[in-house]
Order: sequence, then structure tokens, then C-alpha cells
Amino acid sequence: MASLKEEDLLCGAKNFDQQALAEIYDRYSTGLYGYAMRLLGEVNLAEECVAETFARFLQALRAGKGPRDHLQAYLYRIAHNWVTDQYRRQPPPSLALDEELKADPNLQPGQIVEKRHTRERVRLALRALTPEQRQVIVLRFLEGFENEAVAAALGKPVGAVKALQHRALEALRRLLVAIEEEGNVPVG
Amino acid sequence: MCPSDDRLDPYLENELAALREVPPRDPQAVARGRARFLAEAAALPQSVSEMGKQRRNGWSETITSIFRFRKEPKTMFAQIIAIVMLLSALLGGTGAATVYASQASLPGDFLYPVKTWSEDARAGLTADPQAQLALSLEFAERRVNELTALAEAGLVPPEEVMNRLRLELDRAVQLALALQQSQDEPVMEQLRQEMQQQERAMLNAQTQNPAAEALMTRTRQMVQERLRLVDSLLEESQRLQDQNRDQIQNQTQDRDQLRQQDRLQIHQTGTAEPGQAAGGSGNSYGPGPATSLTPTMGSGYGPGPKRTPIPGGSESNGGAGQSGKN
Repeated sequence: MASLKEEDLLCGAKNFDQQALAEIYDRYSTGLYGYAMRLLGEVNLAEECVAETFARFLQALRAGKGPRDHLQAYLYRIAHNWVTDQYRRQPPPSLALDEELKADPNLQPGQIVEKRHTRERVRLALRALTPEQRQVIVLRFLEGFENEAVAAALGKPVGAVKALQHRALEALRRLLVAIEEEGNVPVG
Repeated sequence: MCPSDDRLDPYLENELAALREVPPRDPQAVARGRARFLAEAAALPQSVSEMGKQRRNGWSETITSIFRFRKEPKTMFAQIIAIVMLLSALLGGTGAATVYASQASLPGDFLYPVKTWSEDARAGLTADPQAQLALSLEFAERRVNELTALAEAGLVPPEEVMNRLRLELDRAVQLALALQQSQDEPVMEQLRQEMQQQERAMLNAQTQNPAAEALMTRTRQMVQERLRLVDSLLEESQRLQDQNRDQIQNQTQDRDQLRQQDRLQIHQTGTAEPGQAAGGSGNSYGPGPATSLTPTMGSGYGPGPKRTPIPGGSESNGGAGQSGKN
């Protein structure tokens, strides 16, 4: 299928058109996987997040809901909610060594350990942010969303998102420094 | 990555960079996830109308219906809810949610064993043969959907799926045979139609993977073997029905012929046929009316008039006295 506009995809999806739904999956599932993988660091959980995101999208379509526009932002919002629930349910899983090696097989063991340490620290800090702060940082600086798309994902005006982003970055910096110094998220 | 108007400072940039790289996604997982998503989507529009009917009743109807005594087998939804509630009691909400979530899983998925386990549990909860047959057919259809979804995604379905399909079809044939003998319902014909649909669905599945195609061909052959068995059972059933009909027809003809022969015999001998009084009206019970056949004096019955034998004369009557006078 030639690359369709998002509104055409949404129209097709609401009619449960298989080609439109397949195109949506092909277009966004890998990005959603990366999003979940960055935050959770575990392949099975990331795949589960993708599957659950698309399942909830279908449920919304069946109920006659679902997005009118900003489909990508809508899917990321579902994924974000799922990840937040996951954070509540269980402690953060550690990244297995073989997954690190898959990411970059040229790294030396010392570099792998250092990189792993940094990842865990950043994940811990992101997890300690409020859900909205975490979402704005991940979407804006890891997923490369424009402000308008972040605003759509959060359901807030662009101006409010910019203010939120500013506070989120400050909070993240404080948390990273604290974790580096204390080895854990500061209490209170 | 991010627009120039809000760049990160070097410290945050360096820290966040550690998360930018992620291991590449497994292509098989992509294909499986895609196939599952499309399979779920294909199943959804049908369930909208079904849910619409239930929505009017509300959840209270669904919950009370699980515990209500009924002659008919439980619906699929109620059975799943019953299993989910049982698991909720045993494991808490997580176990129940897992079973619910597993229903859309495909072979190879983390939750697929939960799906097959819940199917076994449903089968175990069902005692009515008619409902058991419906379940076997439903599970067989699920296996066919899984096989086609995986094959169309370019994946090789596990052998286990084909084996489970074989088990469900064999069970369905046995149940249909038992039901066919005990009830006057065309269950075997329904089974044949279901299997034909499954065989067609597998035939129409498009796959680029030769190994998947080979497995689909073997599975289709397996279904075709069972279809031939069902066909032969249907033929045998039809033959027995024809035989019974002919036997009944022959018995009726023999009886009619015997009646006809009886009538002819009565007509020729004059014997009153039962239910038909000779020479008059009335039934065949009682003495009947007096007729000329009733014995009277001198009518030939009894000893008759007394005769005196003549000495030296013949035994003949009449002229002996006269010849003596002469």
C-alpha cells in the first residue's frame, strides 16, 4: 500500500480495514517498541507493551472512540499509561547482559558495564519523575517529537508543555546527580 | 533529534544518549505481533453486535447468568468469566487478567500456554455432549486461525498447533457420531461443513515461507483425511436409513399381500371372513341369524327313518317287495 495520510489511516481503521490497520502497525509498532524498551529495558515487557497498546487501540475503535487525529501521539499515550502501570506493579527489571551485547557487539566488557550503569541510572531517574514529566522528556528528547505532537500526547496546550518540559529537565538533572552521589533515588 | 530551540545541556544530553540506542526488534516478534493484531481486528466487528445485545442488559445480567440454573450449555463468555472468577479467587486479579489477555495470543507468545490451559479448563467444565462438540469445533477454528495468521505473517506455525487441531477434530467426530446415533439431528453434516470451511481457510492462506507452506499442506491433508471419514460415516448413515426404509416398505407390502390372499380364500370357500357375517349384516360375534344351513329333521343329518331288512333280498330299496309278490 502506498504511504497513506494519517487521516486516511484513521478512517480505514475505524472501518476495521485490514490494510489500514496493517499500515498503522508497520508504521508505529517499532517506535513504540523502542519507547517501551528505553523505559523498561526488557524485551518481553516491551513486546507486551506494544501488543497491549494496539489491543487497547482496537478496543477504543470498537467502542466508537479512538483518536480523530494525532494517531501517533494517541498510541504513545496508551503506551505511556501502560508503562506507568507497569512501574506501579513491579520494580524496574535489570537489563540482561546479552541484550546489551545485541545493542552494540563492539563494546568492551568494561564499556558494557559502564553503559549499563548509566542506563539504569537514567531509567531510575525517569521513573522517579511524575508521569507527565517523564512523558514530555521521553517524547521530546528520546523519541524526537515536536512540541505540538507532545502537546497532543499529553492533551495540553503547547505553552503548558513547554513549562512542564522546563520543570521536568530540572527535576531530571537533580535526580541524576542524587542517584550518582547516593546510589539511589533520594527519599522525599 | 530535538529541535534547536530547546537543546539539552551536555550533561543531560550525555545521560539521555545512553537510552537512545535500543537492541533491534526481533523480526519474528514483529511478524507475530502484527499477525495477532490483525487477527484481533478481524474478530472484532463481529463481536460488536453481540456485545450490543448484552450491553442493554448490563453487567448484572452477565454475572447472574453464570450462576443461573439452565438446561442449555453455558455460553462461551460465561464459561470464560467462570474460569476468570475462579482464578481471581485462587490467584487474585493478576491471574484472571492474564487469562483474559491470553485469549488473543498466538503460538509462541508468552501467554499462549495460558490460552490453551483455559481451553482445557472450559472443556473440563462442560458435560453436555452437544456443548462439548461446539467447544471442540470452536477450538479447532481457533487453531486454524492461528495457523493461517502465523503462515501469512511468514512464520512457521509450531507442530503443536497442528496436533491440537487433530485432537479437536477427532474428538468432534467421535461426539458427532454419538450424537447422530442418539438424536435425530444432522450433527455430522454440520461437522462436515465446518471442516470444509477450515480446509478452505487454510487453502486461501498466502505465505511466502516454504516451511510454513509445507506445514499448512500437511495440516490440510490431515483435515481432508477426517473429511473423508466424515463423508464415509454420512454415506453409511444414509445407507442404513435407506435400508430401514426399504425394510419397512417390504413389510408393508407383504402384509397387504397376505390380506389380499385371505380375501380371495374367503371368497372361494364361502367362509365368513372375520368381521363379515355370512348372508347378512351384523358383526361376527354371536350365533348370527338362522339360515337354511341349520339342521332340521329329515334334512340329511341324524339317523334318518328306520328300515327293516328283507331276508334274501338285496340291500336296495323299493322293487324287492314287488318282485316277491310276483
